[in-house]
Formats: sequence, C-alpha cells, structure tokens
Amino acid sequence: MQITRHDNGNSLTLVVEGVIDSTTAPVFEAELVEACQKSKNVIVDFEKVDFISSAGLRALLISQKKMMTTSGKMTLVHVKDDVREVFELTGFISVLNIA
Amino acid sequence: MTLAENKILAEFRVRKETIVRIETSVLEKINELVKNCGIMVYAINHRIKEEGSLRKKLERKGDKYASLSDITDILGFRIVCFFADDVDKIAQQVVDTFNVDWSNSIDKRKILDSTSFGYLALHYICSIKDGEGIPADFKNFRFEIQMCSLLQHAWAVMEHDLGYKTKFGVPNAVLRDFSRLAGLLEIADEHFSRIRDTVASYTEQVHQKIVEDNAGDVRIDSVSLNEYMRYNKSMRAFLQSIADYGNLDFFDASADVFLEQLSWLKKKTIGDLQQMLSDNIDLARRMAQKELSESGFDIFASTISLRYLCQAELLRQEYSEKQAAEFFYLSSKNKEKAARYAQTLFEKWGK
Repeated sequence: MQITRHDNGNSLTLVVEGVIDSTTAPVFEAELVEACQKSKNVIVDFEKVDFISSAGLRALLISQKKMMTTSGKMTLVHVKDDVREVFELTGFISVLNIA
Repeated sequence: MTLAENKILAEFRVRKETIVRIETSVLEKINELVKNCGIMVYAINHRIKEEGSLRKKLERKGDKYASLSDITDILGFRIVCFFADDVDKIAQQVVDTFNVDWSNSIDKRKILDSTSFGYLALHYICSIKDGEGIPADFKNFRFEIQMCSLLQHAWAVMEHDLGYKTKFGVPNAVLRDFSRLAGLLEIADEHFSRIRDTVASYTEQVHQKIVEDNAGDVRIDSVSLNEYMRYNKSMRAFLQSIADYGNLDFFDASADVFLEQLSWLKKKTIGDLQQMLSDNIDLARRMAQKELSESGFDIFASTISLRYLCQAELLRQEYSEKQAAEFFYLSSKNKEKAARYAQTLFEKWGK
C-alpha cells in the first residue's frame, strides 16, 4: 500500500493505493491520524483501493471520531463499488462521509 | 516616530522569540481549558501583532505607551463559541486558568447601549499564573483573550474587512443598516441558544420514555430514532446477539440515514419500530449473522440492525421485488445496484 499526501491549503488529500489489510492498516491509521491533526478538512482518495479489512475499517473509525471531536471533516472520494459494499455491509456507511 | 516609540519597536524585536514561546504555551492552556468545560468551540484563533501593525498603532497613539509591556494586544487569542451563552462559561475557565487584569479587561457586550455601534465580544487582558516550570521571561507578560459567539466573530470579521471601527467613520447612509444588522445578529444568537435548549429538553424527554419503555406514541425523528437505537433494551439485546454470534465488536452510529427508509416502510412512531423489531427479529438476526460471518469482518455499526430489520420487513410484508428495488434505491441512489440488491435479497431469503 502506498499513500501520497497533497496539501491543498484548505484541505489535505491522502491518495491511497493498494490493499488496506492487517499488515498495512497501522501505516494507514498513522497517516490518517496525522492528517486529521494537521487539517480540519481531510480528503481520502480511495480510487486505487481494492480491498479494506477490519483493521482498515477500525483505522477509519478512529480518524472519523477524532475529526468529529474537533469539528473537522473527513471525506472519502472515488470509492469503488466493492469497497462501498463493505461499508454498507458493516454499517460504516452511516459513519463515513462518502462523496 | 519618537525616540520612545522606536524603543518600543526595538524591544518588540528583541522579545519576539519569547512571545512566540508564550503563544505556544498559552494556546496549550486554552485548548486544555476548552476541553475541560466540555464546550464545542468553532475556532481558537491566535496571532502576534506584526511589526508594521505595531508601528501604525504607535504612530496613532504612541504617547499612551512608555514601554512594550503597556501594549496589551501584542499577543492575542480569540475563542469563538458556537453559542453566545457559552462565552461566559469559557470566560470563567479563563479566569481560573490565567491572571486577569480586570482594570484593562472589557465586557464590550455590557457597555453597548441602544445607540452604540457593533456586536462585540468579551475581552480579557491576561498573564500566565506563577507556578513551577514557568520561565522567568513569561511572567507578567500580558496578552489579550477575546471570547465571542460565532455571530459576534462574523461581525468582527466584517467590521475589519469594511474598515469601520467606530460609528464616527461610518457614512450615515449605512449606519442604520449596521445598527439593524447588530440587532439581527443578537436576536439570531438568542434563537440559536433557544433551539439548542429545546432540542436538549426534547431529547431528555424522549430518553426518559425510551428507558421506561413508554415511547410507543413518540414520532420517529432523528432524536427519537437515535435514542431508541442506543437505549432500548430489545434493540440492544438484538445487537448484542449479532455481536456474540461471531465474537464481533459493534459501535454506535447515527441512524439518520434510515429515517427515509423507515418512512418508506410506513413506520411513523417508535411503537411501529418496536413492532417491526418484534415481528422480524428471528429472520433479521439470521441474515445478519450469516452475512457478517461470511464476510469475515469483525466490527460493525449499530445501524446494521436496521438494515436487516428493514430487509426482513420487506419480505414479511410481501413487497414485490420491484418495490424492494425502489426501497434500495433510497440508499444506493443507483437503479442498477438497487435492482441487484433486491434480486439478491429475494434469491437468498425470499423463501
């Protein structure tokens, strides 16, 4: 998994590429948490994410909660159908902002 | 510039590095005090006066100041609260955390009479309290903390942008508009607080009814649905049974996305929802347990209970596959996908 960060001034975009599983989730979580500390408007580009495991979901949940306590916003963009179905199946669709 | 004014500027340059450190230290304390009072704030802004701005101030009223320490807004903070009545709660925490120089602090909200200009904030001139670990050069340095509502902040930003700080600079033609606007913002602040209090009071009433299992006649809305999801014993037991089956974790999530779907299913009251749970619990539990165990995920949001209850209701009430597709379209906003979900539901569970 690779993560590229783009600081756009008013927002911070993380472009994620690859698989978010138990091996890569700690790095994913660390990047998300850092991004949420740096910006109140974090965009996570999932266009090149083919799979997310429970560990990845937990990382998203932690970051989303962090953003909510600071009145910030985390938005997932370009989510593929397979990954969206995971969010629907697990109910994460109720928690995440998906554009 | 006089000699004294130049001396103040020189002192500012020498102390700038210390002021930056004080800014960091005070900001930490402000963040902490805001967290302690449990109030959500819109923003905590802070700035050190720029040298150019200080120079202009000295040119305007330099005879008032003998040294840098006489200028109390070299370092400034603004805590912007969402609600006007949160300002006093934050102010109390500021009093507890810092030394407040009362002789130089102003509650501009109180000094405004009906003919005054503006919609203004509370300004405290503060310094860091003595204590262990406080560097000597931090002591007695005064800084300004402004506390205001979001709408007072809006006024301040607009006022700054328009360049009018007193009514004397404002053309008569717009003075009346400014006065009307100040009144409007004050009324809006009061109404926002009232709306917040009404919601809090309604939530408390609904919470009581749900805890006492006496909410049958309560209409389904965002408050009642979420209180039901969190505190109704049957719903919690249902969720726990799904979690226990696969040794899964679940967390509470907002059920707002299901409001439209429940309305489509003609569920109007908490009583209707309770009935839907009771009618469909066995099938919904089997569906949830099977799908979650097959997926391999070990965490889910509380809202999946509604997902499976709604699907079981579609089957029990013998909605057609076409109607089910309409139902799924509410959440997917994609006709193809909605049709596929409906087809899968009927294939897997229809018989």
